[in-house]
Amino acid sequence: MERRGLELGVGFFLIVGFGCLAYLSFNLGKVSLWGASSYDVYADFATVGTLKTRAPVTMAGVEIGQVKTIKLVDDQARITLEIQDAVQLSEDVIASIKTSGIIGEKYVSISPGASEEFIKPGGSIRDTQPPLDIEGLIGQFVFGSMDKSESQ
Amino acid sequence: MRHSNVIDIRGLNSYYGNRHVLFDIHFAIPANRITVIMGVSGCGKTTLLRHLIGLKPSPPGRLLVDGEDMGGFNEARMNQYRSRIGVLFQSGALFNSMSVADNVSVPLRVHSKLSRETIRIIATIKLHQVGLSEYCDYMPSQLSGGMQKRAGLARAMAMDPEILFVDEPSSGLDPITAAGLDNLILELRDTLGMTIIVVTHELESALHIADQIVVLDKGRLLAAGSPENIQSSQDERVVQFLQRQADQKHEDTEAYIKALVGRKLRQL
Amino acid sequence: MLRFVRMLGAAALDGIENLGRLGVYFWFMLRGLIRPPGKFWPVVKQIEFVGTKSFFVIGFTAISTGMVLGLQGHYTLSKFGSESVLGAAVALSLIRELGPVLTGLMVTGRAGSAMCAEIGIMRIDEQIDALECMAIDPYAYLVTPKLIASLIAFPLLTAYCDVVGIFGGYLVGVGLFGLNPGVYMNSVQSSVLWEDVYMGIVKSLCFSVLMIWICTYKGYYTGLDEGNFGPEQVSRATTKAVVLSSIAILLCDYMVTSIMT
Repeated sequence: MERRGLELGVGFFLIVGFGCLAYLSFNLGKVSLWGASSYDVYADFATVGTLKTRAPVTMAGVEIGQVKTIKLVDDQARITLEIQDAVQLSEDVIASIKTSGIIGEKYVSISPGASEEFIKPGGSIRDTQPPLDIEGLIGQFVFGSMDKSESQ
Repeated sequence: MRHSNVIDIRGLNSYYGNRHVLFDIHFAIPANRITVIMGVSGCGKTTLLRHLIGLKPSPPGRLLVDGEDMGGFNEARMNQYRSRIGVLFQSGALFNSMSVADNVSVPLRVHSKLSRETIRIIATIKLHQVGLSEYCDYMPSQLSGGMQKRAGLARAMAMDPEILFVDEPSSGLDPITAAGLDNLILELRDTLGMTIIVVTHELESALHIADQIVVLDKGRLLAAGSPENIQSSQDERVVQFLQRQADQKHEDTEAYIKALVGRKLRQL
Repeated sequence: MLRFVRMLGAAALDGIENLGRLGVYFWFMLRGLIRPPGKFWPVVKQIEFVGTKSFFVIGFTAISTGMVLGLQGHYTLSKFGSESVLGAAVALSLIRELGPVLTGLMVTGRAGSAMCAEIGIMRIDEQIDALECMAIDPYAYLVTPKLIASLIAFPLLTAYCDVVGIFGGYLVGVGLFGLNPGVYMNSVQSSVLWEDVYMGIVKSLCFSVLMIWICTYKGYYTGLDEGNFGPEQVSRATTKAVVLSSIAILLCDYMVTSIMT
């Protein structure tokens, strides 16, 4: 009947449409419906440089999470890392802020540890390395000799 | 107790923007009778109809339905009134996206909780009453003008209205089909006791079906009464209308010339 | 001089009156959501009309746009030796910008004009008057199902347009320029964020409301300004509706983009 064609057409449209939307959101947009698939870990840095929220967190070059928040606690920068559930961090991992390329975006790199103990959700990473201060380095390189001559 | 006059019109004035189209109309529409509103084109009869069916808001106190002021109707009350009336529009106004039977079913589907099958049966009965039961599944565009009007009538009667408004039943129809529609209207009055208001400019059909005739001219009420009264009227305009004389053209030559060249004169 | 001032005043008053009517119309359209008659089947029918029947035209638009983006993008990017981000260029332009806008414009041309003409014909044929006389809210009966259907169909059509467009870029990039398929898809995946997809959805929802609002409004008030109800008025209303809602979509696109970035 006429109604069957209508139902078929609309059903087909809805399936394809929602399929495309799901592909865009879940595969490309990386949306997770099940919010609890990650846990939070804290890390305190002397400085975070130009690190931004949502910057990637990597281990051995593989993305394992992202930076959730950055705020100031006791004169130090405290960042919250959102780490995927499947990844467990040893207690003695080192978190460092690095730059992709010389002037690229900052990201957090975690170098693996050896300890048998793992950091629990809500725990914190003890060893941290602040980013290389490139501007400072350049400054030292340019003005470093002057400092020396003054002290002599 | 039932009011003997279904609708009372008491000094109705109507405007389109600044244009005054109805002047102080006074008459009553008796129950279970056929009232015919007549007049030449542009005399305001369609405007009057739009007031009566609530498409054009009426000033308070001028239009009484069963003694109640229609100007003061809120939306709910207006809808209640509209569920008591049926309207056949000039063109039939069938929804051209659905079949004839579906057209007749629309008011039933919206306003009643009847099952699909019941609605279908009622629609077929209504179409049978107007002699279209074989055309249930036709689309409106496949019907002739007269059939479309009859289908429109079936839809107007779907909710068994107490008052039926008919706008120009015979316009665009051949005399035989028009006469058939007139007989249908008479039948509705006799068998169902409906109050029927017909707007037309067809003199013969009016004299044939009317219990009461109201003649409008240039927005004013010219005469109201039984067909006999109207026919024996001495009023110059009524006589002119009855004898189908053309308007005396350009009675005022000076005004006519002014109307023609007025603009140019101002420019000169 | 005085006449000029008066003309200006009259035009301003007219404009304000029209805006007010447009606002009231929007309110009636929303009010139709909670009013009878039931809307399930009308909405399904409208989804078929707006969605299913636009499938071909949107697919065609999307694939040609994607292929053009692939060609142009490759031309520009190869000047900087960064062909590897072709996927990102195609996907981001489509998802953030071209997908919603092209879908909006195409559906306006295809479905919006038809809706305007349909309602316009119902107006000049007294069918809307007939609805009112049957105590049926013409907004709830005619306009609201179209609104609901478009709100459902627009984001889906936009998503479909994005995906087909990205595939079009893939065809050109991989097929024509011999780009590595993995490089293309990886560039797409790593560049697109949920914010981009979200922006596309917000845009398509805004466009659907604009299209329905303007196109059905123009149809509903066909000939009411001229006080003259003829076929000519329907055609004029349809033209105006398509032009106006296309302009509104483009303006709205700029506003949404500037608010959300």
